[in-house]
Amino acid sequence: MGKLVVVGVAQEQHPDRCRLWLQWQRINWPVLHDPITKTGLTAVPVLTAIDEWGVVRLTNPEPDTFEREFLDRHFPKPALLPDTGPASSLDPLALLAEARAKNSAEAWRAYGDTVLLFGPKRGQLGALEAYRRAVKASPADGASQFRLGVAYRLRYDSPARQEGDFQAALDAWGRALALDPNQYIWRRRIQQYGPRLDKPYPFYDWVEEARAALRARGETPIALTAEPGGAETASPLKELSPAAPIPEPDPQAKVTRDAGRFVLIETALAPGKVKPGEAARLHLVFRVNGARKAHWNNEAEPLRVWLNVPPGWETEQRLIELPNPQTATSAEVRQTSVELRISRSAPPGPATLTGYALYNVCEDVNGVCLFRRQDIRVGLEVTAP
Amino acid sequence: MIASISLCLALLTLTFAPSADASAPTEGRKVGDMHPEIVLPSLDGKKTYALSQFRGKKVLLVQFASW
Repeated sequence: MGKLVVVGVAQEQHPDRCRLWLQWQRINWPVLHDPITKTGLTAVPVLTAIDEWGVVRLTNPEPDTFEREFLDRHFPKPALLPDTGPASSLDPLALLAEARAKNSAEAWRAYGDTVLLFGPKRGQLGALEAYRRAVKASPADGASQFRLGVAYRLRYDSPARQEGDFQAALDAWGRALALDPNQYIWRRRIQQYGPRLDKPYPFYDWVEEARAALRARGETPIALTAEPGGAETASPLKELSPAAPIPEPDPQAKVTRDAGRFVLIETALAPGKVKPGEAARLHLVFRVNGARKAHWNNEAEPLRVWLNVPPGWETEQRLIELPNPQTATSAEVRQTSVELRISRSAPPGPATLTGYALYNVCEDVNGVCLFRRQDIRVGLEVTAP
Repeated sequence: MIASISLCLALLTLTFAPSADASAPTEGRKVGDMHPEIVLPSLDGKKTYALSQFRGKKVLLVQFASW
């Protein structure tokens, strides 16, 4: 075109998902990644027409008048170019020194942002500590709380993952949103993983359509480091249909417990704090224990999860079954999520959801294959209505 | 070219509608103000871009999400 440069800024936790979307849409203009709302936006999309001198000329322009009001207009050089504000330093050492000296949320955020965005491997470990210190300096700083959540989720999606990272991310985002409930990007970040009863739309239901379209075009879809989970592709739900009565698979707890920890189970609740009558999405992630050289045995009953729902609570499923893949054995991470509604008369305070998983797992290639049970306990906080 | 630019803008507006929040604000971005500098990495992390590097050309800045 010559007359116009289109530049994108993507508000995304997972940049490769946006890259897949751009590949599908055949968009090849430069797109920048902003996982931490560094631009300060509270909602998207926002389109801004900026002239050759950097001056804003139109906001959310109309297609019918865009050319006349912007492209075809001549904007003279301002007599005095307005000040854009002080240029931010990108020197992490200088920012770290300033953060240590000031110990303010703003200074720790500035350092954390630079390390997260530009450091080697995005520097997520250093950024996580920086945002912890920012939150400690100012717990009421929503921007720091949100960034802390982003850093936890980045670590969760990395080889450096630690148990509890996903829940820590959700809790930090929850604190951020409580401090600024008008921040729609923060709200959407929680809703992305949250209950269907609170979803405005399906977030990533386009992924399979995009992949099919790209393969049909003879292209290889960009690989995703974190596949969208069921909660991220699910459609909104207006009402929760009660779970159909179904026999409990091990009511007398006769199945041998997985004392050897052949399978590691992680849970997360989105959101982690709910009011009586509100919904939450329970995420369950199952990993075979590499230290035990364990793998799934797919030639027996599939992995099943049973939930003991407290009185007054509702769920769409009490027995969840994860189908086996076609191969006889495998070692993939398995995950699922289920909708819950907390009792309308639940008292404020800590609450516990229990259940168990039943699975077939083998130790080493020609080792012993076992049918095991692992009990599950999920804590959540019921807040005052 | 004129028709294609208008069509492009219309398509951009429609494409990002699913994630649209009606009251998307433009704080700090009033007409007549300098747009604040933005320095961010590319999506693949291989490059760093600054909004100011596009000075000298007209820019349509599209802030969006794929969700």
